[in-house]
Amino acid sequence: MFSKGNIGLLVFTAIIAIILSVLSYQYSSLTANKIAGIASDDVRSNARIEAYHLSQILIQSIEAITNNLKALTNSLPVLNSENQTVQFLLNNAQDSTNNLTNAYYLLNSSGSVISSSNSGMELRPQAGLDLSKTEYFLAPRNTKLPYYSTVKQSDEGATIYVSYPIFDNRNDKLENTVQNNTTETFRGVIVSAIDVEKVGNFLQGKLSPELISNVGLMDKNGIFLYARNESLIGQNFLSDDFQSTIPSEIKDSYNDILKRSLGSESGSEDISFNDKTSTISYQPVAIDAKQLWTLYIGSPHTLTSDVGLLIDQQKNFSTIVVMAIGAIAIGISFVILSWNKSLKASVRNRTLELKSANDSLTESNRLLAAANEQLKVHDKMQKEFINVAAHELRTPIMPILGDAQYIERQFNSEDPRIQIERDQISSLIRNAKRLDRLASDILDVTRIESKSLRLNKEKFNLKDMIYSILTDVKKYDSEVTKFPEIKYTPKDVIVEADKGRLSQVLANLLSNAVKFTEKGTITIDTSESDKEVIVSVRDTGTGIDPEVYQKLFSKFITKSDRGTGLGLFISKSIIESHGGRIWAENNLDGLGATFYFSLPGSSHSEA
Amino acid sequence: MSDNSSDIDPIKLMVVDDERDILRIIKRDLEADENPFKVDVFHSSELALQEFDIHPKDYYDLILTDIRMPKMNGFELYRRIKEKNPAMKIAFITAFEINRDEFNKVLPSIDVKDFIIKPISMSDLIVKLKLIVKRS
Repeated sequence: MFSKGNIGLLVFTAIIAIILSVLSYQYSSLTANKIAGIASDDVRSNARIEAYHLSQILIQSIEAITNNLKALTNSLPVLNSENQTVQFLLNNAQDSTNNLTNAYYLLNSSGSVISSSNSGMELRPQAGLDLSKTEYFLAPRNTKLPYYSTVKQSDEGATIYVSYPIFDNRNDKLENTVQNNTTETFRGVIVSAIDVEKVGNFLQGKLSPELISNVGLMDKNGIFLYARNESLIGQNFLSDDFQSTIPSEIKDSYNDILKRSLGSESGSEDISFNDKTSTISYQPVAIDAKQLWTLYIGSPHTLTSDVGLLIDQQKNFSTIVVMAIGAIAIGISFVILSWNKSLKASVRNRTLELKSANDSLTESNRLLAAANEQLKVHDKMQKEFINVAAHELRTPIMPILGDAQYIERQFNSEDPRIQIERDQISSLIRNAKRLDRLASDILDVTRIESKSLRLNKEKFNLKDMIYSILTDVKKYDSEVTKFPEIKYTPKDVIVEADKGRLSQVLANLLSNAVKFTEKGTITIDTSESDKEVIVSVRDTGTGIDPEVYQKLFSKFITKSDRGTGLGLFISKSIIESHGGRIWAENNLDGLGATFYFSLPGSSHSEA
Repeated sequence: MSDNSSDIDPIKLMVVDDERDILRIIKRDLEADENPFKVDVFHSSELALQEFDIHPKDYYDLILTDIRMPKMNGFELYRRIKEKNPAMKIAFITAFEINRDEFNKVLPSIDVKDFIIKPISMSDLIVKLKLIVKRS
């Protein structure tokens, strides 16, 4: 259907389309991965900011508690054991940090509860309760430093205890600062019980609502202080309870993240499982310039997969678009090629039509040129005829006029004698006859061409006619000095024809023969068969010029310097109107020519 | 012959024409008593050339020749004579439908004294010939 080149073009277009599709797909993939990376970075960055923000809130809230504790340890009512006032202060402290704490207590130096805030929890420690065995009493007493417990399960739920030691150094301050240590008197501890559930709710409540996240809090030993899953609270992250909740595929990486998180650096890391990604951000929480805890925000998100899905769609879409464009390009190429093909075909057809039209035009031009050429030839012949006719008409006039004027002048002279010579009269007659013959010829041609040549047929003996002509010819051409010999063997041949016209033909042939034969003989012969009578005139002259042979019997054809070229044309017309033929041939011996004419045979001949 | 014509050398004229009747009247009328011509007539170019060679090259004062003649036509005669004597005056006399311009187109350098168209009356011819001879 198409040429090789066109099929090549189609294949080329298809290959280009496929390459573009692949490139587009690759580029989309690359872009998709970049977008996914940017999206993940963004998510991680947001989570980290969130973690930092949340840790700051947590620190502020914890600092509110520690500030309360510090203030209480230094307050005079505490030091002076003004129990009523202490109760009031503890209640105030509890009111101010009610969002996190369940209670504040004052323990004496022996670890018994002196007083506790009455707001908040119902089950607060009653006065007199011995808490001397607790870490939150022993640790600050021994270290003289604030104490932060790990999470403890108590009657009030999971609780973190923060305790500050109370030292009374009022008496010795002014006396001996050097012996400060020895003079300090341990007076007990102030404890605040931080409710883990409250902390969890607090933290969860501070999270941006649009972030579906889990908050966790771990102490520096890796023990969960708070987790959504309450059963994990108090557990080390390495414990079986926690480890069993982690899918084995991500266990190692997850544990690595948690281990890293226990350091002093904040961070944000992704962990993926089953197309689901969680961003885990961790932020160390330092209180009193001491790193105590690590805050976690775990944000499971489908962003990467969502973006991936979108990007996959985009990839597929752009690939399909490119393929569609390719297909359309191929289609268009196909259509254009088909169109081009039909266009080519129609151009070819038109070219062929034009060519044939051109050919026929060339042909008609050629015919026209030929016709024109013929016309030119005809024109030339016509001109030639006019020239020849003028010559033949004018030439006899001069001697006629010359002689006549010569004689006339004699009448005008005084000499009464008029001298007229025979020669002059002969010349007058001869030239007048010449004019007469020319006039007759022209008239004959006119008759022939208007098809009004009439024949007056009669039966006569050819022999008589030939004798008569021979006499006339000799007379007419008497001026020719060397007159050729004319041979004729008389035979009686009876024909039925126009005697005058036939004489004209024979005289014409004879005069032509004489004209072209300077010396030698002219032979007239007649022969008769059943069918026809043939008369021939044979001369030993110059022969027929090949130049005129083909048109010998046409008008205006002559090689003579005398005559109009009408004679043979008239002869031919006369013979043909008798039903005969006229022809001529050069003699085989190379001397002269023979002219023949035939007449239809007469049924009877006489001896 | 009159005294007048015997005193002066006659104009020697060669006339060539295949029409014997024309040669006859030209010779007769040009050599008539009152005319200063000595006319030699020839009915073919060949005979005329033979006669021309007999005499000195400037023997004839003027050659008057027909154009359409058997065998050697007037142009050929003109060429042959001019070969022998380029200064020879030649005039044509013809019954052809010819004018000088047409001839000049074909033969621009041809030195032809006149084209005389037949038929011409003898008195006119004599005037023309006298003019040609006197002019040069």
